[in-house]
Amino acid sequence: MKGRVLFPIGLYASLFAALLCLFNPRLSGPVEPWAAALMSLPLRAVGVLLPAPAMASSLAAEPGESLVKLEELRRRQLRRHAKIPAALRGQGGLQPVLCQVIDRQRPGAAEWPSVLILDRSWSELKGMSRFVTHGDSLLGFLAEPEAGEDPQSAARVELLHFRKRGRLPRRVAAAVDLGEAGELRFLVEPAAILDTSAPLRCALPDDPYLAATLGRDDLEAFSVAAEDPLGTVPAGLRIGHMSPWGYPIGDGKFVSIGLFIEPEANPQYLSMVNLWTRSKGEPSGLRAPLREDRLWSVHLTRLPLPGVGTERWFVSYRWDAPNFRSGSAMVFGSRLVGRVSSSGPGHAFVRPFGQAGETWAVTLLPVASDLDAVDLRVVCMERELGRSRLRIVDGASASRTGELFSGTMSEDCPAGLWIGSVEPADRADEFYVQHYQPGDGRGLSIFHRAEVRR
Amino acid sequence: MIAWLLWFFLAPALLLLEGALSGACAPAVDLSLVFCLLFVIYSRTSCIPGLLFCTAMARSLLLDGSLATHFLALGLPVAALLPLRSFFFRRSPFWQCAAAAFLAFVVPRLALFFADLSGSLPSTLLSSSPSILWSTLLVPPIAFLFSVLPPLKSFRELGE
Repeated sequence: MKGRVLFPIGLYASLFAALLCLFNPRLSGPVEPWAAALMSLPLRAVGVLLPAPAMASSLAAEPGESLVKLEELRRRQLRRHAKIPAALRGQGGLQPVLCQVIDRQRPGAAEWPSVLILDRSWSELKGMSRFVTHGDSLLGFLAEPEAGEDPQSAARVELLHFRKRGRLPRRVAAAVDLGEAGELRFLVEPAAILDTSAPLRCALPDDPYLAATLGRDDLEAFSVAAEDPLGTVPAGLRIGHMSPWGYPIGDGKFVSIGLFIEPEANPQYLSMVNLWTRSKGEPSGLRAPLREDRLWSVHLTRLPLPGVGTERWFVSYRWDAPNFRSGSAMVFGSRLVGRVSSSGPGHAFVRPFGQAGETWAVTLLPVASDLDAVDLRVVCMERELGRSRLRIVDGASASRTGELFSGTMSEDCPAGLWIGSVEPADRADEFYVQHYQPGDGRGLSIFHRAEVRR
Repeated sequence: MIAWLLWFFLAPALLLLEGALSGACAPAVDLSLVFCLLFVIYSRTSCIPGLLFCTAMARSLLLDGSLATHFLALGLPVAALLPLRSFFFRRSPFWQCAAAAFLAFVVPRLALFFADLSGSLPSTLLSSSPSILWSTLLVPPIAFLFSVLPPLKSFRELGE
């Protein structure tokens, strides 16, 4: 008896099993979701039985309000993306086709996603130029559908740092302008997975001696015209900011052992890209972020949780609803109010927007109408009653007053959903956003993009 | 079996009760610490993995972090204290308070550590000195209270 107390083998074995599951969550298999579904049965019963108080009149107006703001966002996004970069003018009448990013996949070098999934199918994008841009930056290339892939499935963009086992990476001819010293030309290729500093690196410079002594970090790489059997890339598109890696050897001299490039547009929070076509009449408008027939009505119960600053909502819905993936958007009209953190048959737990520690891709629409909407990555610092304080971790905005919209978070949390109005905080890189406060839990739905097939 | 089912469904309800009470009255006591101390002092050794599973499951259901994260954050301190219970804890309030202070200090740190390791959001905040003090004083009597009430009474070590 005493031996079992001194050496509780069952407890040690279960701790070891938990440690294995921590590093490989697949080991716990379906145990956790089903145990969660079973454990939440009483909550589900309570959620259904709770009487619903009357809906607040201010909340009833939210869906219409969010639609107006969404319309303004789309108008300015179209205005911004309709501008043809100088490098593409005079290229035989290239016209932009604005596409929304609905998901990101395959972390590559620097842990940046290397594939973007678009809201358009392969068949819709037939005949497009292969290169893909964001503003005047070259992002990557429209992929080819794989053998046997459904032409109606979502098209993919392979970014410049995309790598695939058994296939040589796509290289792009580029150069940096060195002023009086002329130009240094090289090929841009994906950095190694182990390179955490930047996702791209320079290879085969035309002047290796010059490249080996390049210590400047103020250089912008841009594409140059070159014969490319995989397709021509227009010259003059920005590729990114060059950062040499090496060590100083005194007298202001520098020996570089690697030249890396950090792309201008960070795919971690990018929600729009431009494709290009020469044909007239291509669809260039933006699609609505949500479709009515993909929204599933839910009933919300607020849970009192232990701990400061945490809030979780329990939502129940029909048993025959799809199994919502973690990260699916919960909306009130077309206003984003939270994301599913876990779900089981007939129920889900939702984390409201603005919980401390969460990182979000967002789009800030400044109140000044002459300013463009900017994509940002923010981390939530704290959530107070009715508002959250957010800190910008990637991107920059000239204004901190305006309206905040979701960026692309996942397939089921699309870009362009209104979150709330923004006002500046004390720090220059922080702002407050007024977020949704649930009234009676009615009018809420979860988005499930079931029609996208891969 | 009924006691197991009761504990399975009661664990999340107790955490919600803690959440409801923490807004209403101070000082708030972390019930997870109460359960850990209860398992260490009063529960049958063979039942502890199951009891921990239900507690960790309830935490993973309501808070951030996976089942494994919470199981490890609660289970490791229990495993560390368990061999000492025959010698120190059972009849000594002083050692029980010391064990409660140890749990109040270690459990949130382990939860943060494992959340960081698994890349999930932290489910807890680091305990402050006043909260450790309150836990030291309040956790042992509340643990005793839960140990004599069903369903946890059914898991008490025989001969207690």
